[in-house]
Amino acid sequence: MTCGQYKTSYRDDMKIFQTAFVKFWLAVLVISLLLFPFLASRYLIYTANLCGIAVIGALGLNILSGFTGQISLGHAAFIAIGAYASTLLTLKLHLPFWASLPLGGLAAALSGLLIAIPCLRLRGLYLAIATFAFHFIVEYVIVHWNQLTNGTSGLTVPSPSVFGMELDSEREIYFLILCLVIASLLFAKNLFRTEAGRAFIAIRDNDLSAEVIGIDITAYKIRSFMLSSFYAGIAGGLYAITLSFIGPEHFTFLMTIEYLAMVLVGGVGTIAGTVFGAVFMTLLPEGIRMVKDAFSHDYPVLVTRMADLQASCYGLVIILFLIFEPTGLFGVWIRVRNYWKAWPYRY
Amino acid sequence: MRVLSKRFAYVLVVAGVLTTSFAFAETGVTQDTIKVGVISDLTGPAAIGGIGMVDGLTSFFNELNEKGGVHGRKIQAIVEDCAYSPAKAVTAAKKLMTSDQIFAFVSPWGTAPTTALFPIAEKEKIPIAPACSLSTSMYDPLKKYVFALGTNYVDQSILIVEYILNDLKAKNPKIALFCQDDDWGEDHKKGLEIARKKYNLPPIAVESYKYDAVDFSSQVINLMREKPDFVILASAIKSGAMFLKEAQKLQWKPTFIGSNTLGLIATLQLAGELGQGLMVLNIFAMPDEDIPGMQRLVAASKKYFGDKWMPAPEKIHPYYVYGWLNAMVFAEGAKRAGKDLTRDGLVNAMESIQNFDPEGIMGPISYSPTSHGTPGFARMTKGDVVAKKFIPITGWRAVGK
Amino acid sequence: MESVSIKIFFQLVLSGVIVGSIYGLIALGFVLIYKATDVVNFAQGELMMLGAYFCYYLIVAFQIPFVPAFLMTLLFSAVLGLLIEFLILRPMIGKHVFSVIMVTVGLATLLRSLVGLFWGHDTYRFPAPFSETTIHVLGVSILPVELTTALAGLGLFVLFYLFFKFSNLGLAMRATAFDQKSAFLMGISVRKIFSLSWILASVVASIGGIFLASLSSLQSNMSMIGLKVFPAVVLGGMDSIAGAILGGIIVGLTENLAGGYLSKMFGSGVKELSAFFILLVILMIRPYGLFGKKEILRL
Repeated sequence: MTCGQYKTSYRDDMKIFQTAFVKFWLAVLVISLLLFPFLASRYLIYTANLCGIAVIGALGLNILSGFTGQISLGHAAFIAIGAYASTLLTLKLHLPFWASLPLGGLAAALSGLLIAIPCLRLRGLYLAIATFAFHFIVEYVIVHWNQLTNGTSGLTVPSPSVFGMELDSEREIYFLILCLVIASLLFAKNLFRTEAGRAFIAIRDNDLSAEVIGIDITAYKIRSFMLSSFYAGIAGGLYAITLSFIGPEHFTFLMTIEYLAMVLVGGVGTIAGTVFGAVFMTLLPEGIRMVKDAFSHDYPVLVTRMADLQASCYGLVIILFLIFEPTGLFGVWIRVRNYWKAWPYRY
Repeated sequence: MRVLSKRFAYVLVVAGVLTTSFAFAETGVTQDTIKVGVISDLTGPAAIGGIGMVDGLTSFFNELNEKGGVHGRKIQAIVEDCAYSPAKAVTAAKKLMTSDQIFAFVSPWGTAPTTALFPIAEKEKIPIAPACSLSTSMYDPLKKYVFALGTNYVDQSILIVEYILNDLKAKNPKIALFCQDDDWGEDHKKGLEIARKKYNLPPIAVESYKYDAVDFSSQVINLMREKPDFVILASAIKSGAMFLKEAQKLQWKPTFIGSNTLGLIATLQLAGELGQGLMVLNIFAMPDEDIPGMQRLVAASKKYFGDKWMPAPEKIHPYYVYGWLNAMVFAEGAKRAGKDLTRDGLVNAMESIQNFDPEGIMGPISYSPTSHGTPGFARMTKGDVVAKKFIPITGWRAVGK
Repeated sequence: MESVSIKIFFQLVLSGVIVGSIYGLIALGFVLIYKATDVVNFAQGELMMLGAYFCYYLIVAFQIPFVPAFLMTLLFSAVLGLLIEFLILRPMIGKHVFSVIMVTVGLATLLRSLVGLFWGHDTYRFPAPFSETTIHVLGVSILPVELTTALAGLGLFVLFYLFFKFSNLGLAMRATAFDQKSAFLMGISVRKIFSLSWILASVVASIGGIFLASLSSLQSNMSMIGLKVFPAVVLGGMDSIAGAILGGIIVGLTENLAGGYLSKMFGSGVKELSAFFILLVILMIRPYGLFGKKEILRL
């Protein structure tokens, strides 16, 4: 219950986590996240790793599309560039993972710069289509530049070594991903309290007016693209070590669609929403899989047909969510929170 | 605080003991079941093969289980879809491994998804026994836990060339290849290069297509320009049939020979009259052949799927047979490994398989510690559109030495 | 030698035009929706596929001859378009453009998996009534089904062009596309226009689907061709009917010519890539396409 909040300095006012209540529950969350890998099965840890990667990737997309309003359909391409770059740096130049991961992110950021420049003057749908074309070009390059990427055969990713420690199991990778997720979330949250972040939001809301009041939208658009692709590149590098193997079939347009769904279902333009959306969309196919397993004993013949049913549920969930819950999971969360905040009063 | 942490420590210790004690029994094997994981393409671009393979595999296991299974244990197949995506194959594999606790992977379908499983197989020491892929990369370089059967694409190319030279008695034939632009196509190119060097043939013209393309006219025109005598179609049914139609339209009549992927009745249906007399290299026996293995397969399919799901013999296509064979070889390996079944035991047992005859469905299967693949056995068949089948025109043959 | 090269060139051009007509038909449906409702429909390829499968189902399961089955399919697609607009798109009016795009993406996934559920993933031969004998004219060969496809594309283009230019309903649609509020104030039922555009798009998609299935075959991944819509519509102009068909044909031509002449140098992936390459070039120098309105804000 937040009442009687009393601040005595600007510093207090600007804190992200303000009340003791919030801080307490945050601590509980962090502790349970730390304990989780010791109590859960390997499969659950693996799924959690995928969720973490999705959060970082979706955060990148939300920064670009949700906060800056630049609709991008090329997200999978940036993730692919990050994955391949960090893997190739490890394989060919024998760089340790703690170096090749950020460099992979940097490679992705540079390609973000590359695609941003011709797209500066495009808006809305045309921007989306240009990024879509970029996706296909990247896919083509990966498949055909055999000497570098091994084409369709893909690359086996060696176990990452961070500062001398080799991360061999899902649990160890989990902790690495957890640190990076927390770092990315804090950075993003803080970003939108700074001038740059507000410039992004201004571009989304009305770029013409933003230009008029003096915001250099060209520079900020480029920065948004680069930051978003950096996040995507980091997600890609982590994805590579989680799967231990990458190939061009991993980074299809479907992946872009999944990330878009995460951003939309979670809540466009919100940080917490990104987390909800990423976790939800990663767990949804697993949930449907559990339902399928429950039924497959009674109808074994249906097993091969069940896969289509899974895909149709997926599509249906997206549609229903968008129609009935446009503010996404974040909106649901806010409503629930407000209900409890005001309880037992109605408002 | 101190009491809390002590209790917590107890919980951790007990949990730890439980989990480690679990690891001492062989995973996936109990008194009366062996759990195996099957990862296949059920909804993606190769679903026609993927679903057929699962059907063939499950009907073999169903029949085997009715007869008592292997050493009193029934084989339970847990099927997961990967839609031909290597990423999803890895996710499915991790789930099967940790959540379902399977003993081994049997017949993961497709080269790309199976290749993605290699790191898991090696690291977790889980056998892939055997894989459902005709790529040489399954066993070359050799991987301890990965087996494969079936005539690989490289050998198929060589066999087709040898057929052209020896049976059709062609002198210095100019050969062209139409293949898919991925690993599968690369294997065929490799095989043709080996054959070309060996028999001193003119250069091979190659055109490839993307798996979801709908128009192949430029590829047809390009190959036509090279004026080859023979065109090898190492493609999916749709692209192969369209190639034939396009060539006929342009009044171009080279001799077409298909690889095993065209050996489905669907090819004859799609190609129409062009399928009459079409030569296709087949690596398994035909469903209507009078071979004990085939008859058993057809009977099992009718029993477990009935007319509702298996309305026509067309459903028993080479991939169905492939699934059946993979299941058979796994069962043989499990049998040889004995009652005390372990993963390493299975690998050793499979390596001991010598001249195992899969009831005539394909050539004899032999593995060894240095060879986890089967030699290239195949035969040439001709398509008969009216009878809706492929009729063998040569005997089983191996790659010439 | 000279005449052979020219013959090959013309053959490539012809195949390009034919496959381009299919692209054009899909693009036409897309533009119809975009022009009237400002919605980007990612499910156009799936609508096309559903039409083809439904027609196949009527012919094979109920033994209905081709022409009645064709007409019944058109009716079915009209109803389908109406239902989709009413149930899925109507609630999304006024929402963020991002959400609307995602809804069509979700719809595409749903339709694709429903096709897989009911009809499986086998490749089927489409029972079209076209004869198989090749027609040879002026040195090039063409199949009757290909000729019909090209003519159908052309015919529909002329039909829609005239419709939008001269009919009252067409005028109403253009008005709605231009400014919804004003059109509403002028007494045009915007809701009816929305429904109509989806109905028309769905019908056109089905026609395209049936022709595509006749040209190649029926398989559950044929909706992938829906992705080729984007180069075609961007080239032609997102809101231009003429541009859609023309854009489609140009994309088909470029693909085939690139495949025929450039694949030696770049590998045969160049065929698919060329379409997207054009896309990028056009976006950079002339984003509103060949015929679109110059409405892009340049900042």
